[in-house]
Amino acid sequence: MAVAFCIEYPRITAVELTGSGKKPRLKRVVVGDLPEPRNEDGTPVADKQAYLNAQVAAFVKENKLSGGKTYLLAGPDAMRYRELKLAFGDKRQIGRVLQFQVEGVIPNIPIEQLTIGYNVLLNEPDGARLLVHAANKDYIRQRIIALEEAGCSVEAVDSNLSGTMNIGLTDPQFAPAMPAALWIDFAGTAATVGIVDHGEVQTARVFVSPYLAGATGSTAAAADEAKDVAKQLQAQAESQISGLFDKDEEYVLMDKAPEDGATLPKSESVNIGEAEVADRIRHMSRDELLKFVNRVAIEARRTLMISTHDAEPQRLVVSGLGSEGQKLTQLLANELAIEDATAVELMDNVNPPGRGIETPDVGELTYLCGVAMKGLGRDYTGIDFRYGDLAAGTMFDYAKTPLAFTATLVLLFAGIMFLISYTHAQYYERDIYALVDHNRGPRYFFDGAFNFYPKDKPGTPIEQKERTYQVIEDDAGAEIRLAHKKLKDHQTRLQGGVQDNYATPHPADQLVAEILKAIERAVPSYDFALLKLHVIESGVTVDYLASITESQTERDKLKAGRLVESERMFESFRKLSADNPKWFDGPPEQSESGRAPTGPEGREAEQWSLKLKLKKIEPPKPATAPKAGAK
Amino acid sequence: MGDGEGSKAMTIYIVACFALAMMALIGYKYVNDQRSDLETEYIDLANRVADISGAYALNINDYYRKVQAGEIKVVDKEVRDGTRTALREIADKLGIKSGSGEDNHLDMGFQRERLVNRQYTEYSLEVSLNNVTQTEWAVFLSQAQHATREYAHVQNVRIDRAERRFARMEIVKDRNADSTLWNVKIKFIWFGPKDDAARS
Repeated sequence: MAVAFCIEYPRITAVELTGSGKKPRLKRVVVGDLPEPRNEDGTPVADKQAYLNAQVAAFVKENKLSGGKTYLLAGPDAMRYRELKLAFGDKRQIGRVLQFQVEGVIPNIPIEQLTIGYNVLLNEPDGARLLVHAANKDYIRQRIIALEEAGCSVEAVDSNLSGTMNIGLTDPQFAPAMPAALWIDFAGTAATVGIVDHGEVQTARVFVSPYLAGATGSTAAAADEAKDVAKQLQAQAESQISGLFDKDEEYVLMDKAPEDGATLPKSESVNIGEAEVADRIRHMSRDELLKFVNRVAIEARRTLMISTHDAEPQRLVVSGLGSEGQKLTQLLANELAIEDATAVELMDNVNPPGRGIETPDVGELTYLCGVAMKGLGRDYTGIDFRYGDLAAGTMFDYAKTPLAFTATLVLLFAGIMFLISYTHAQYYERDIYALVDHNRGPRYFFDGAFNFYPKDKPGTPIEQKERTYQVIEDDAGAEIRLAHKKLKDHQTRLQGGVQDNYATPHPADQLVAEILKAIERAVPSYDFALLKLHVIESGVTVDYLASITESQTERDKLKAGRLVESERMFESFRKLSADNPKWFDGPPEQSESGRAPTGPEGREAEQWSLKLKLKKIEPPKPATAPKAGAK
Repeated sequence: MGDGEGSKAMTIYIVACFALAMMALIGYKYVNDQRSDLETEYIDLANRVADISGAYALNINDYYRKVQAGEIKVVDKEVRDGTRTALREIADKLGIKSGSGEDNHLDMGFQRERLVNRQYTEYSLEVSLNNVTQTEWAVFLSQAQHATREYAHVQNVRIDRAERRFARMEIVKDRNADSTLWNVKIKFIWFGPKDDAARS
């Protein structure tokens, strides 16, 4: 499905084609109003683009035209056509020089304001003849913007002549097998004349349909004047043939047409349809009709004279005149002295009579359908004005603005973050050096620490080094850390040298005190006697005499419980061991010596030996050299 | 500016912005790490300076001031080597004196040195108290330990009753009845650098 738009004040026309390039079918034709951009008081609208956008958007939305491939027609008002002859036919070379060539042949419009396409009319070894289609860039840009704002993605933009060729050459009259034909097409106010041979357009020209003057009731005098102009034109054409006028200089009748008929009245700026054309022809007077035929014949002859095509057209094919087509074709054939004349309807190729749809009577219908056929795969000229700054943007193009905004924000954000961090880092570096450089910095206190150090005792080299403040110019942090370490080590040394790795023994004096307390807790009897208390590195040995004649009454009196004395001692030492795991290695062991009980006055006591193991003091491990390669 | 040059300039601008932003971000990462390190380092160094000014310098200064004023006696090798004399003085004050026969209550061993694992020197001194009461040996032990507390350790204590006979003893309840005699051996040890003797 392809949709082609023609947006010309005072209306918008859209055609929708389906099918294929070989068998296109008109699906619908939609026509909407496009009033002149004026306010209610008649003043021009300030923002014409916004006005156009709104009008097109409303039209597209109302007719649901946003789907499918969209094409834009550059109407006759926006077009200039020139025929050029170049000394080469290579497309790349043509592309290089075309801008400059066109600049020379359309001098009244800056080349920057034109977008150019061309189709090759004749390609020979000694050069190529081109038909250049030059379109007004602003005209196209405004309409592309309006369509894209309305949600249509414009695939290509083409000219009315290109559209006419595209649809016209699908007609059987222009089949390759047919003899060369002179083709005159009327499309409302615009007419095209061309020579078609072997299915190819050999030359083509566009001019304003000259019947309007007659149709609007021109006088006989005006008709005579028209004849004079026609004669002048004919003479001019003949002079071209005779070499007085370089025929490579291309022409366009729409630029400067004869005054009597070429300038359209304002009220007639609407491109009238085929039925209207036929109606006007029907109402022409005889003089007007002859004048019309004469004028068209002049244009045709002029085209034939300018053309360098060798084959003389054997046939006349006229299209776009509706019901009056056959009659006028005969008149034109008589005027042009061509016997074989045929009137055709180009729209029949996309909208077959009897099977097609009803279409509104608008002049741009034929070339609009021709442009729409590009979307179905048929593109005779291959012209697309969407290139350069008119080219459809890629995803990246559309994303550029938000991307640029984002990039700026990211850059600002990253830059600010960088500067903040950099500044903070500078501040910290400055502050670190300030710690050292301060009047009462670490050096002041370091030196002050040793104010009262006895000068007569220098101490060991290590101690001397420890008392010397070392300045490290490039590293304030290292300087502070070194001073801190020296003072810390020195204080530690003064506090007893805890950094030394000595095998410090268990405190035997404290163990003795604890053992005496344990004996006290066991509540010794009247007969108790401590014989030996040894505290050595390996353990504790306690020998004592425990009463065996102690009665319960005595124990009650001492509040010693019910255990006999040896058991009380054992229990007390077991508690001592359990309470001091840092010293003792396991519970005590108690044994009775083999000696006979002893004691006076009926009292008896026996000797017990109680042993407690002390935890082994691990000797310091000798310093080992670091392994090779270790960090 | 021709057709498309604005678009090209915009593309260049975007690419340049992103490139610069990437450079700035990389720079930010680097500088921020540096800043973080410096922040940590500054806090650490400030604490160290505070330690130096508020603790170590004052403590060391005060220590040497007291040493100079005679309020503190520095424990150096000279002091450690005088252990034997100091302990004898303590014993003398307690009435535990050397003599002969039954009157010999104090035997002071010789100061011994041995190198431990080639890392440091261990000094030892054994004191024998003969036929002393529990009060005597307990007070001696206490005072001797206090006098040498900064550098010496009591490694061994061997307390033996002088007479292994049955006698009622009130070691806890009635200290006035402390008439039992004991033989006590106390071993003190202290340490010094392995080359301490050589430097003296």
